[in-house]
Amino acid sequence: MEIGTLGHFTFQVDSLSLHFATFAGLIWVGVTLYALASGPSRRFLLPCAGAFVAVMGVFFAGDLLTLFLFFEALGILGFFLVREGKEARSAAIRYFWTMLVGGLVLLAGILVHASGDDGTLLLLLGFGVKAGMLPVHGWLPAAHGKAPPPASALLSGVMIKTGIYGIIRIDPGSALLVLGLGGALYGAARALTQSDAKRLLAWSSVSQVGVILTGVWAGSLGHIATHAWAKALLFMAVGAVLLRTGTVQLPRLGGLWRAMPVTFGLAVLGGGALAGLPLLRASAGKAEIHHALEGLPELAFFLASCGTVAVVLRLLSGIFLGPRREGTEAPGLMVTGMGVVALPLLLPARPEDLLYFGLTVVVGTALHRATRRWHPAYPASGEPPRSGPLRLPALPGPLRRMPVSPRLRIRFPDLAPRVDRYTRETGANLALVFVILLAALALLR
Amino acid sequence: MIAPGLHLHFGLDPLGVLFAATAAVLWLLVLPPRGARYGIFLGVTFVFTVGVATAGNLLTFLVCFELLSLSFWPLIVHDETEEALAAGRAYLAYVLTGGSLLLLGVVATFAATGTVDFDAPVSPFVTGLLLAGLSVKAALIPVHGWVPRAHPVAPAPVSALLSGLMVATGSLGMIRIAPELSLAPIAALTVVVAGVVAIRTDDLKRRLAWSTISQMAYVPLALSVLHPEALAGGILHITHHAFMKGGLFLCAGLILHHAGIRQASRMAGLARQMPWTMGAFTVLSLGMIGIPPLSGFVTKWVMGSGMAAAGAWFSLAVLMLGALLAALYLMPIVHAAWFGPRSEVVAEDPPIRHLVPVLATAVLTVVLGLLPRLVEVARVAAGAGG
Repeated sequence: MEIGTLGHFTFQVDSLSLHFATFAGLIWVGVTLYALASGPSRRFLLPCAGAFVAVMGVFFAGDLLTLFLFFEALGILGFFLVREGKEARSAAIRYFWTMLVGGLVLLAGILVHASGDDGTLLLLLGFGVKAGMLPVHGWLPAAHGKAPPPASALLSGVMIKTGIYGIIRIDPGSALLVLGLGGALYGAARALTQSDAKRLLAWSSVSQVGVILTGVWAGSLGHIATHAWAKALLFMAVGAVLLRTGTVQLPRLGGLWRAMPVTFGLAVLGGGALAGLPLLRASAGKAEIHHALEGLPELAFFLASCGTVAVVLRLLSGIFLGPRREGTEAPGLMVTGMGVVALPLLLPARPEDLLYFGLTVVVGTALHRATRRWHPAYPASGEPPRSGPLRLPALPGPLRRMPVSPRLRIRFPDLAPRVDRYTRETGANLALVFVILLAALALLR
Repeated sequence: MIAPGLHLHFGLDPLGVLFAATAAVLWLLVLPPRGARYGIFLGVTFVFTVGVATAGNLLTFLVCFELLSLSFWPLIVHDETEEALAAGRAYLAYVLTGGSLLLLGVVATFAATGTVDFDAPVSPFVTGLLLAGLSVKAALIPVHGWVPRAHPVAPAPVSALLSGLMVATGSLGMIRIAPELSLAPIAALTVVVAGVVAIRTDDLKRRLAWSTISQMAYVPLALSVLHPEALAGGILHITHHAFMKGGLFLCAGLILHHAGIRQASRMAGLARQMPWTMGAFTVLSLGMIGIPPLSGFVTKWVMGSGMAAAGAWFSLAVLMLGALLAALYLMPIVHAAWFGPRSEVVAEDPPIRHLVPVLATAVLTVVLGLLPRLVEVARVAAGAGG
């Protein structure tokens, strides 16, 4: 993609742009209808509309400068979308700073690229932050997990696709395979430890972005639209459940399949598309990717697919299956919105890939049952548990203390406990990410 | 002509014209004056600023430069408080010392070459003298000390002028001399350290003063890259920063006057009571950080392109870091003002006639970002006058 000149905004339309813009547009229609069910709210609708403009600006941008403008705008608008969620204020602030730094890295990459040198690493990291790519995915679980459900639907459904769009345009090469598969596996594993349905979906997004990027490396873009629709649908379904039951904690939910049958059906559709249910055309995206891989990457991809099945089962069984509960179906407007987004998923599949996906379903179900204990029940205190036992032993003391100066802590008093928790939880898991990446790199050589 | 080889020389070149035009707009925004003495020195400082801009050789530059420094003193101590007078004394100490170094440099140039042209070939020692003298005005570490003291005590419009162009005259001198000595390490240090100190400063005007030190260090940084595009960016940054920082200081003045607030930490929830003022503040802050399509982004882009083209990766990284620091010391204020808890302070937006200059700077920030016509002017200036 060319660089562009200051002050001139150029736009272009090609098949890639159209593809992205089409599924994005459909999702926007559905989510807006869905959001209107709780009454028109300027706080959501204004940034929602702005984000739509920004997303279309990114997809139809004709040069990197124009793309960067709309990209940054999207980062700011995302802040407004996230902060309306319950206890989402600090997640929104973290989102803002992550997007700002990511934007600076991206700008540096564009400048380096413009001067003729190889800016691919910077560009990849800059776009990757927005996409939720490993290793710059850290902001995603908090932001998408805490944002209000329609906002999460937009964020996970479309806004991270802008980062993926950028990555496709810059064509980074084999780094994508490693980062993609690593993210796919890691995201699925973390998702299985979640008891908060929205956070589970957020980690699933990290995993699916990994799958998508593996697909990009392999030349297949089919899963992008599928994930957009399916993830948006799932977030909307969880939002409907939240509206009717007041909670998204899986240990507290269950048995809603009778009370909310339409929501259940749509969620199965969405989850199935994500998992690669053989009956849906939408699953073809994953099939293509699988065909392009061989050897160790193929095995890793298979494991990631099983992980996705397990995650979907965890979510659906946690919310909808089990002993029957009382409840009412979601409001009509919400159902309509979800229906709009679900439409493209209804196309029937081609019979070619039944065997592969049948296998993933079998192994995935086993995985789900085997890792049930990873997602703990409610402790006696009633406090929702944080992520489960995939917590490695904490880093030793001196390593755990972030190099944040005591003075800085005094200046920002609520930074200190957050920093401690961050290093304790994330530090250990970062080590795990690193190990996965190293192993992947070593084995792939 | 004073002596053979020593003459005053004024000329118009693209760089000088751009600088003088910026001064004209900025001085216009700072009217009306607060009394006769104020008004007189406002005019005098403008005249000498134009003189510095259009100076054609070292001697002329020195004369206008020194007179400019002196004529700003009455404006800085205008309020005549104890604090202001003490700050004024510190200011004079700094600028007079710097001026003496500059004088020594000019004398040495004349002694060595018999001329006082900008591009007279001189030894690195003499260049060092000239640069040292200019650095005081340009507020490079470690001779930046007058800036955080003078800005908080001066009336807000005077701070706007100080930050806007007075500091820039030092950078202008550096561009004129076009030294081969690289100022990059000191400039980079200044950008980072001043930015970090700004984050930890609570007094709003002092925070903005440290921001000026950090931002104006971009110009010597860009100069040291030795690429015309980077230099064009640096020159353009002088103009754009003048408008943005000028606007921010005017906002600070309005906030002080109409809400009685000096500290950033007390500005929570202020935007609900002073929406227009804080709205302009927000736009100007976003411009300072370099969010497209505002004017700050244009300068960042031009400077960055030059640095990347020259392979100056370190400078490019410093540029990005500077933007991050700007966000760190400006965005918390903006966020707290719009989203913070309602404060018990009673405030309201100033009347239109006071708001107009501030809004004008915000509009300029947007317009210069969307229609970056001045980039071409800066490029010409970099090619010719640099």
